[in-house]
Amino acid sequence: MVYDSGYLDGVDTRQAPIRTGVIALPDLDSEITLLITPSNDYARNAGFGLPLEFGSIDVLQRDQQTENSLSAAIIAILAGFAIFNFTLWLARGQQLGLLMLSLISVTAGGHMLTSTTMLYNFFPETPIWVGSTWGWLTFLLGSPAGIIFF
Amino acid sequence: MYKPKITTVSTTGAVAVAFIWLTLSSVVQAACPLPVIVKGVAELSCLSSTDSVPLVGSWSFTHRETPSSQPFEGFIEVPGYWRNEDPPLSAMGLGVYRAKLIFDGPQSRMGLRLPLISVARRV
Repeated sequence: MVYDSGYLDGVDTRQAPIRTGVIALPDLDSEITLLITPSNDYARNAGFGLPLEFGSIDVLQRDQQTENSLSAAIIAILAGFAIFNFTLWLARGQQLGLLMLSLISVTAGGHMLTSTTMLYNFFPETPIWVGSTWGWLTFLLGSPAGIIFF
Repeated sequence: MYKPKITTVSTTGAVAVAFIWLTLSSVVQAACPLPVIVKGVAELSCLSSTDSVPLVGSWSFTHRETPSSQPFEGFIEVPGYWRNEDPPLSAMGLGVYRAKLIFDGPQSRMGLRLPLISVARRV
Protein backbone atom coordinates (compact mmCIF):
# COMPACT_ATOMS: atom_id res chain seq x y z
CA MET A 1 0.00 0.00 0.00
CA VAL A 2 1.41 3.39 -0.96
CA TYR A 3 -1.45 5.67 -0.02
CA ASP A 4 -4.46 5.53 2.28
CA SER A 5 -6.78 8.46 2.86
CA GLY A 6 -8.39 6.63 5.77
CA TYR A 7 -12.15 6.28 6.37
CA LEU A 8 -12.30 3.59 3.71
CA ASP A 9 -14.19 1.21 5.94
CA GLY A 10 -15.89 3.88 7.98
CA VAL A 11 -19.39 5.24 7.62
CA ASP A 12 -18.53 8.85 6.83
CA THR A 13 -16.08 8.97 3.93
CA ARG A 14 -16.48 12.78 3.82
CA GLN A 15 -14.03 12.98 6.71
CA ALA A 16 -11.19 11.74 4.48
CA PRO A 17 -8.75 14.40 3.26
CA ILE A 18 -9.59 15.50 -0.27
CA ARG A 19 -6.02 15.99 -1.43
CA THR A 20 -3.96 13.04 -2.56
CA GLY A 21 -0.92 14.77 -3.99
CA VAL A 22 1.71 12.98 -6.02
CA ILE A 23 2.22 9.43 -4.75
CA ALA A 24 5.79 8.15 -4.93
CA LEU A 25 5.92 4.51 -5.94
CA PRO A 26 8.65 2.07 -4.86
CA ASP A 27 11.00 0.62 -7.47
CA LEU A 28 8.85 -1.34 -9.90
CA ASP A 29 9.35 -4.63 -11.68
CA SER A 30 8.68 -4.86 -15.39
CA GLU A 31 5.09 -5.81 -14.64
CA ILE A 32 2.91 -4.48 -11.84
CA THR A 33 -0.76 -4.51 -10.92
CA LEU A 34 -2.11 -1.19 -9.79
CA LEU A 35 -4.99 -1.49 -7.34
CA ILE A 36 -7.06 1.53 -6.40
CA THR A 37 -9.96 1.28 -3.98
CA PRO A 38 -12.36 4.21 -3.71
CA SER A 39 -15.12 4.11 -1.13
CA ASN A 40 -18.17 6.35 -1.17
CA ASP A 41 -21.12 6.77 1.17
CA TYR A 42 -22.14 10.31 0.36
CA ALA A 43 -21.03 11.82 -2.99
CA ARG A 44 -23.40 11.84 -5.97
CA ASN A 45 -20.61 10.71 -8.27
CA ALA A 46 -18.08 8.04 -7.50
CA GLY A 47 -15.28 7.03 -9.81
CA PHE A 48 -12.65 8.97 -11.67
CA GLY A 49 -14.11 11.85 -13.64
CA LEU A 50 -10.60 12.70 -14.74
CA PRO A 51 -7.82 10.26 -15.61
CA LEU A 52 -5.06 9.29 -13.24
CA GLU A 53 -1.57 10.20 -14.34
CA PHE A 54 1.33 7.78 -14.15
CA GLY A 55 4.99 8.43 -14.87
CA SER A 56 8.22 9.94 -13.69
CA ILE A 57 7.76 11.46 -10.26
CA ASP A 58 9.72 14.54 -11.34
CA VAL A 59 7.39 15.09 -14.29
CA LEU A 60 4.29 14.58 -12.14
CA GLN A 61 5.54 17.07 -9.55
CA ARG A 62 6.37 19.54 -12.29
CA ASP A 63 2.88 19.14 -13.78
CA GLN A 64 1.37 19.68 -10.36
CA GLN A 65 3.50 22.78 -9.88
CA THR A 66 2.46 24.14 -13.27
CA GLU A 67 -1.21 23.64 -12.41
CA ASN A 68 -0.68 25.36 -9.05
CA SER A 69 0.99 28.32 -10.70
CA LEU A 70 -1.77 28.65 -13.27
CA SER A 71 -4.48 28.43 -10.61
CA ALA A 72 -2.67 30.96 -8.43
CA ALA A 73 -2.38 33.37 -11.37
CA ILE A 74 -6.09 33.09 -12.21
CA ILE A 75 -7.13 33.51 -8.55
CA ALA A 76 -4.84 36.55 -8.26
CA ILE A 77 -6.40 38.10 -11.38
CA LEU A 78 -9.91 37.46 -10.00
CA ALA A 79 -8.92 38.95 -6.64
CA GLY A 80 -7.45 42.01 -8.36
CA PHE A 81 -10.58 42.38 -10.47
CA ALA A 82 -12.73 42.11 -7.34
CA ILE A 83 -10.73 44.77 -5.48
CA PHE A 84 -10.77 47.06 -8.52
CA ASN A 85 -14.54 46.84 -8.91
CA PHE A 86 -15.16 47.16 -5.19
CA THR A 87 -13.01 50.31 -5.13
CA LEU A 88 -14.95 51.69 -8.09
CA TRP A 89 -18.21 50.88 -6.32
CA LEU A 90 -17.02 52.71 -3.21
CA ALA A 91 -15.95 55.70 -5.29
CA ARG A 92 -19.04 55.93 -7.47
CA GLY A 93 -21.64 54.49 -5.09
CA GLN A 94 -25.12 53.61 -6.28
CA GLN A 95 -23.82 51.36 -9.08
CA LEU A 96 -24.95 47.91 -7.96
CA GLY A 97 -23.41 46.31 -11.05
CA LEU A 98 -19.89 47.09 -9.83
CA LEU A 99 -20.58 45.49 -6.45
CA MET A 100 -22.06 42.41 -8.09
CA LEU A 101 -19.10 42.14 -10.44
CA SER A 102 -16.82 42.30 -7.43
CA LEU A 103 -18.86 39.62 -5.66
CA ILE A 104 -18.83 37.38 -8.74
CA SER A 105 -15.03 37.67 -8.90
CA VAL A 106 -14.64 36.89 -5.20
CA THR A 107 -16.89 33.83 -5.37
CA ALA A 108 -15.29 32.57 -8.61
CA GLY A 109 -11.84 32.91 -7.03
CA GLY A 110 -13.12 31.30 -3.82
CA HIS A 111 -14.62 28.43 -5.80
CA MET A 112 -11.32 27.88 -7.58
CA LEU A 113 -9.58 27.50 -4.23
CA THR A 114 -11.36 24.21 -3.67
CA SER A 115 -11.95 23.05 -7.24
CA THR A 116 -8.18 23.10 -7.75
CA THR A 117 -5.54 21.97 -5.27
CA MET A 118 -4.73 25.53 -4.15
CA LEU A 119 -6.38 25.44 -0.71
CA TYR A 120 -5.24 21.87 -0.08
CA ASN A 121 -1.60 22.74 -0.70
CA PHE A 122 -1.76 24.96 2.37
CA PHE A 123 -4.14 22.74 4.34
CA PRO A 124 -3.45 19.18 3.16
CA GLU A 125 -5.73 17.58 5.72
CA THR A 126 -8.82 19.51 4.60
CA PRO A 127 -11.63 16.93 4.67
CA ILE A 128 -13.88 16.29 1.70
CA TRP A 129 -16.93 17.83 3.41
CA VAL A 130 -15.16 21.20 3.85
CA GLY A 131 -14.21 21.38 0.16
CA SER A 132 -17.71 20.32 -0.86
CA THR A 133 -19.45 22.81 1.46
CA TRP A 134 -17.15 25.65 0.38
CA GLY A 135 -17.78 24.80 -3.27
CA TRP A 136 -21.55 24.94 -2.84
CA LEU A 137 -21.37 28.09 -0.72
CA THR A 138 -19.38 30.01 -3.32
CA PHE A 139 -21.64 28.71 -6.08
CA LEU A 140 -24.83 29.72 -4.23
CA LEU A 141 -23.42 33.16 -3.40
CA GLY A 142 -22.05 33.78 -6.87
CA SER A 143 -25.13 32.68 -8.80
CA PRO A 144 -27.53 35.39 -7.48
CA ALA A 145 -24.80 37.99 -7.94
CA GLY A 146 -24.48 36.85 -11.55
CA ILE A 147 -28.25 37.00 -12.10
CA ILE A 148 -28.46 40.52 -10.63
CA PHE A 149 -25.49 41.69 -12.68
CA PHE A 150 -26.65 40.31 -16.01
CA MET B 1 25.21 44.09 -48.82
CA TYR B 2 26.83 41.11 -47.12
CA LYS B 3 25.02 41.17 -43.73
CA PRO B 4 21.48 40.58 -45.02
CA LYS B 5 22.75 37.49 -46.85
CA ILE B 6 24.08 35.99 -43.60
CA THR B 7 20.77 36.76 -41.90
CA THR B 8 18.82 35.13 -44.71
CA VAL B 9 21.02 32.04 -44.68
CA SER B 10 20.86 31.67 -40.88
CA THR B 11 17.09 32.21 -40.86
CA THR B 12 16.61 29.61 -43.58
CA GLY B 13 18.88 27.23 -41.65
CA ALA B 14 16.94 27.74 -38.44
CA VAL B 15 13.64 27.12 -40.23
CA ALA B 16 15.07 23.97 -41.82
CA VAL B 17 16.36 22.66 -38.49
CA ALA B 18 13.02 23.42 -36.81
CA PHE B 19 11.16 21.64 -39.64
CA ILE B 20 13.39 18.56 -39.41
CA TRP B 21 13.09 18.50 -35.59
CA LEU B 22 9.29 18.79 -35.74
CA THR B 23 9.09 16.06 -38.38
CA LEU B 24 11.33 13.73 -36.39
CA SER B 25 9.49 14.37 -33.13
CA SER B 26 6.14 13.64 -34.78
CA VAL B 27 7.54 10.39 -36.22
CA VAL B 28 8.80 9.40 -32.76
CA GLN B 29 5.40 10.22 -31.24
CA ALA B 30 3.63 8.22 -33.92
CA ALA B 31 5.88 5.23 -33.19
CA CYS B 32 5.08 5.56 -29.49
CA PRO B 33 1.39 6.41 -29.16
CA LEU B 34 -0.30 7.20 -25.86
CA PRO B 35 -1.02 3.92 -24.07
CA VAL B 36 -4.61 2.87 -23.44
CA ILE B 37 -5.69 0.35 -20.84
CA VAL B 38 -7.52 -2.44 -22.63
CA LYS B 39 -9.44 -4.86 -20.43
CA GLY B 40 -7.28 -4.03 -17.46
CA VAL B 41 -3.90 -4.26 -19.19
CA ALA B 42 -1.68 -1.46 -20.46
CA GLU B 43 1.53 -1.79 -22.44
CA LEU B 44 3.83 1.02 -21.28
CA SER B 45 7.05 -0.13 -22.92
CA CYS B 46 7.33 3.24 -24.67
CA LEU B 47 7.24 5.14 -21.39
CA SER B 48 10.55 6.86 -20.75
CA SER B 49 11.84 8.02 -17.39
CA THR B 50 10.99 11.60 -18.33
CA ASP B 51 7.38 10.98 -19.34
CA SER B 52 3.98 10.79 -17.77
CA VAL B 53 0.83 9.30 -19.27
CA PRO B 54 -2.87 9.43 -18.38
CA LEU B 55 -4.15 5.98 -17.39
CA VAL B 56 -7.28 5.99 -19.53
CA GLY B 57 -9.22 3.03 -20.85
CA SER B 58 -11.10 0.06 -19.47
CA TRP B 59 -9.92 -0.97 -16.02
CA SER B 60 -10.88 -4.23 -14.35
CA PHE B 61 -13.47 -3.28 -11.77
CA THR B 62 -15.24 -4.82 -8.83
CA HIS B 63 -18.03 -2.98 -7.06
CA ARG B 64 -19.93 -3.84 -3.94
CA GLU B 65 -22.61 -1.48 -2.66
CA THR B 66 -22.72 -3.02 0.81
CA PRO B 67 -20.64 -5.82 2.34
CA SER B 68 -23.58 -8.19 1.98
CA SER B 69 -24.65 -7.21 -1.55
CA GLN B 70 -23.83 -9.13 -4.72
CA PRO B 71 -20.59 -7.79 -6.22
CA PHE B 72 -20.38 -6.49 -9.78
CA GLU B 73 -17.31 -7.66 -11.66
CA GLY B 74 -16.37 -6.38 -15.06
CA PHE B 75 -14.65 -3.44 -16.70
CA ILE B 76 -15.13 0.28 -16.27
CA GLU B 77 -14.04 3.24 -18.35
CA VAL B 78 -11.70 5.81 -16.84
CA PRO B 79 -12.45 8.67 -16.93
CA GLY B 80 -16.02 7.92 -15.93
CA TYR B 81 -18.43 7.55 -13.06
CA TRP B 82 -19.98 4.34 -11.75
CA ARG B 83 -23.54 5.50 -12.28
CA ASN B 84 -22.86 6.10 -15.99
CA GLU B 85 -22.03 2.45 -16.55
CA ASP B 86 -24.32 0.07 -18.39
CA PRO B 87 -26.06 -1.20 -16.32
CA PRO B 88 -25.72 1.81 -13.98
CA LEU B 89 -24.06 1.07 -10.67
CA SER B 90 -24.88 2.75 -7.39
CA ALA B 91 -22.52 5.60 -6.56
CA MET B 92 -22.37 4.25 -3.02
CA GLY B 93 -20.15 1.47 -1.85
CA LEU B 94 -16.66 0.22 -2.44
CA GLY B 95 -14.97 -0.14 -5.81
CA VAL B 96 -11.72 -1.83 -6.74
CA TYR B 97 -9.93 -0.67 -9.88
CA ARG B 98 -7.24 -2.99 -11.24
CA ALA B 99 -4.80 -2.40 -14.07
CA LYS B 100 -1.78 -4.44 -15.04
CA LEU B 101 1.01 -2.19 -16.29
CA ILE B 102 3.74 -3.75 -18.42
CA PHE B 103 7.07 -2.00 -18.92
CA ASP B 104 10.13 -2.91 -20.92
CA GLY B 105 12.16 -3.32 -17.72
CA PRO B 106 12.26 -2.41 -14.04
CA GLN B 107 11.33 1.19 -13.30
CA SER B 108 12.46 3.56 -10.58
CA ARG B 109 11.39 7.03 -9.42
CA MET B 110 7.88 6.60 -10.73
CA GLY B 111 4.74 8.08 -9.27
CA LEU B 112 1.01 8.38 -9.54
CA ARG B 113 -1.17 11.45 -9.47
CA LEU B 114 -4.86 11.12 -8.67
CA PRO B 115 -7.38 13.79 -9.62
CA LEU B 116 -9.37 15.47 -6.86
CA ILE B 117 -12.14 13.03 -5.96
CA SER B 118 -14.73 13.37 -3.22
CA VAL B 119 -14.41 9.82 -1.96
CA ALA B 120 -12.07 7.98 0.41
CA ARG B 121 -9.41 5.97 -1.43
CA ARG B 122 -6.49 3.61 -1.06
CA VAL B 123 -3.71 2.81 -3.56
